[in-house]
Amino acid sequence: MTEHIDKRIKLDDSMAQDNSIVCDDQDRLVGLTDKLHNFLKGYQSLKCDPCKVVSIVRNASCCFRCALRMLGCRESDLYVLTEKELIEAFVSFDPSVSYEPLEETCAACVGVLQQADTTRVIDAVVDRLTTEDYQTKSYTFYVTLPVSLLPRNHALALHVYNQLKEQGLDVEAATAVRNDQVDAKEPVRAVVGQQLMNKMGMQQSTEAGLKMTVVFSHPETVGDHVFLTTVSNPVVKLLKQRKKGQVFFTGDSRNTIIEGLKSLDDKEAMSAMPVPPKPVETAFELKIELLHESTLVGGRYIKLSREYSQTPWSIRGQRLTEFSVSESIGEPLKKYFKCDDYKFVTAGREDANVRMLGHGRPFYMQMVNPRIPEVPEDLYLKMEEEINHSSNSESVLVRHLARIQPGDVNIIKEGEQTKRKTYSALVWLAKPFTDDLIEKLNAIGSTQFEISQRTPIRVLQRRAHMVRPKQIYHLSVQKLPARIQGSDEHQEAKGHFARLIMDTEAGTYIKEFVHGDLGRTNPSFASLTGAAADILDLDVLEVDLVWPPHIKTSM
Amino acid sequence: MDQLLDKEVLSKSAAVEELYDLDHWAKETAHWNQGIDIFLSRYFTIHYEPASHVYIRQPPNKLCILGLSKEHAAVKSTGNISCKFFYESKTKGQKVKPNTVICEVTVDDQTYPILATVYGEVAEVNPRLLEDPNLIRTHALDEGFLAIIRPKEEDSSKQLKGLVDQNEYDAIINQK
Repeated sequence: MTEHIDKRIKLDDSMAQDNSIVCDDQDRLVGLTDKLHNFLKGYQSLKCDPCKVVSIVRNASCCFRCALRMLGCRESDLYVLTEKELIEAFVSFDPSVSYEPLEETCAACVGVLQQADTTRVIDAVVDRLTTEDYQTKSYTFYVTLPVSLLPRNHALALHVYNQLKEQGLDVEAATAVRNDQVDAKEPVRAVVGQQLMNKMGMQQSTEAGLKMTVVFSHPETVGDHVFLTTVSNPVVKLLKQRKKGQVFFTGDSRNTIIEGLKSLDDKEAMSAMPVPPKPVETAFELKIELLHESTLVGGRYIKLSREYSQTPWSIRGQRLTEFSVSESIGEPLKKYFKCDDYKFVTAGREDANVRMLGHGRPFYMQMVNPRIPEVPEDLYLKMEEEINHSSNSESVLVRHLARIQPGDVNIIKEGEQTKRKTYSALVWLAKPFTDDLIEKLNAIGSTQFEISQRTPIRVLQRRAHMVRPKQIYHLSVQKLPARIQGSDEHQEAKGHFARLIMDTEAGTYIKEFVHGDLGRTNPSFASLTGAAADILDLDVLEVDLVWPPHIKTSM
Repeated sequence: MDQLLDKEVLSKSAAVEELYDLDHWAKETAHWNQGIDIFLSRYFTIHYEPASHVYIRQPPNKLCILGLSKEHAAVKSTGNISCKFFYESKTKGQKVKPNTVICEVTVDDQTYPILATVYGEVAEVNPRLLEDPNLIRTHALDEGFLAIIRPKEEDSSKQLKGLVDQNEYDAIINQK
């Protein structure tokens, strides 16, 4: 007795809110039986004797759950009852009829609904869930049923209609019964859902992060609908196609088959397909996919190195840069979320030989299929510290690592188009940088001015030929400080160097602004100085975007 | 977000801002002043058609930037210079063959037809030459280019067949 109560308490903890099943097994059965009786009473008064329908279905070698479907029952929890329990409930409703439990595979659902709660199905799902060990208690259930259920349901409904008419029911009532048939998807969902709740305390939901997809297939009956191509005025037309050397058929999508069955007249159906559906000899197959929606981690990164690309970069299998920002951040994070992969998304990008300084560039990391979708708040700081003290920390640093909501990612995409950027460049000039020249340049740069850029030659082979006006909000030139002048060698050459700092509109090509791109950017730094100029090193100093979005001081 | 640790990160970022390797760059650029072409060779290879004194510059993406070398009569000339194009700048350019005349450069009453020299499509003709055709003389090797041709052929050795490099060109010039 104590064991009984303990069990009750345990089930209580993992109980669902709306699909509440009474915890005591006996109470549960009684409750469901009552519910079924009420349903049947209602059916009897509105339509016809439900037991007549059930007998017809049973005699056609279909299971009791498919009989319930034929009665148009939409109460999901009634499908959870086993074949035996359903028989008992029907017998207690009308003791004048008797039924044998179905020994073979149901001809209507090819066994899928009939055996949805058997160990073959449930153990497979439980094993997968246990192996993957997602740290979550809810899931959304997607199910695909064998395509042959479409013609088979149609055939069963037609058979029931014919039989009822033969038994004296009028056409209208028989038609109403036939049209009442419920699709098997929701019943399968309910049966599996109940099992997973009992065995693992997992709650089925419509919008859970964990998406479970079960695809049921039945190779033996895969061609059951093909007869639809041979009827008069066929809706279903098979098209032979070739893709990558493989031949396959199209034209028989589920929707097309449904339409084909809709437009099929009963007389033709009787001669073209088995009515009722033919029993099957083999078992169905199932495939289980589990995918949790991504967890998004946002922040800002700083790149101190000129040798790290943003993402792993390779041509023909060969890595071009040894390291990337993406891996420096993604690899340490991966283990905390136990995910399959990560995707690095940034607000704009910089070349490998360009440093990203200042407050860093906004980014988010998409942790794909995380087994641990939520980590504790304080772990974000720990992950940030781990990255900033790793072997990559001479090159890549992160700031403000935080959880990001899917709705926030638009900020990053918009930022790419509209935000201004600040750059610092080491430039060379064909003539020395005199104080006068620097003064003149700073005077020009102190107020906003416009430049006109034709599509740079270096991207002209793949971009449209355009002239783009761009704003230079501010520009200044500085001599380089003594402390970085290095050795005494090449002093003359060093007189040709200066540091250029610019604040520009998003989309400005900086390199082209400096050297002028054969005169196709006007004015250019070169034209403003009156001599040839080139850019030697480039750094991004600031990306003007508030990110992550919810932090108080987000820059 | 720990304020103290963030300050550390920001200071690391700020500390490197002015750090450029001037020794390295001074060595690289020491000889750039010897000619306009030297720093341009970072971005383009240059090829010459020795008979017509046309050059083709190629960036890594294989576009052909066509211009007149300093040996071309028009570039060497003085007098009133003008340029007339037979093609326009277009994203989907008009097709040309090596012997297609893409423009005419006229100095006083001497007209020089300029041939495309390669197979391809005309992506751009230098618009600045309409207002300032003298760029052909003052900036023959850079801003005074004539046109950009999108090549038909990806393989440079095929596309630029018959053209010579700088050294060969110089040798040919000096022989004359």
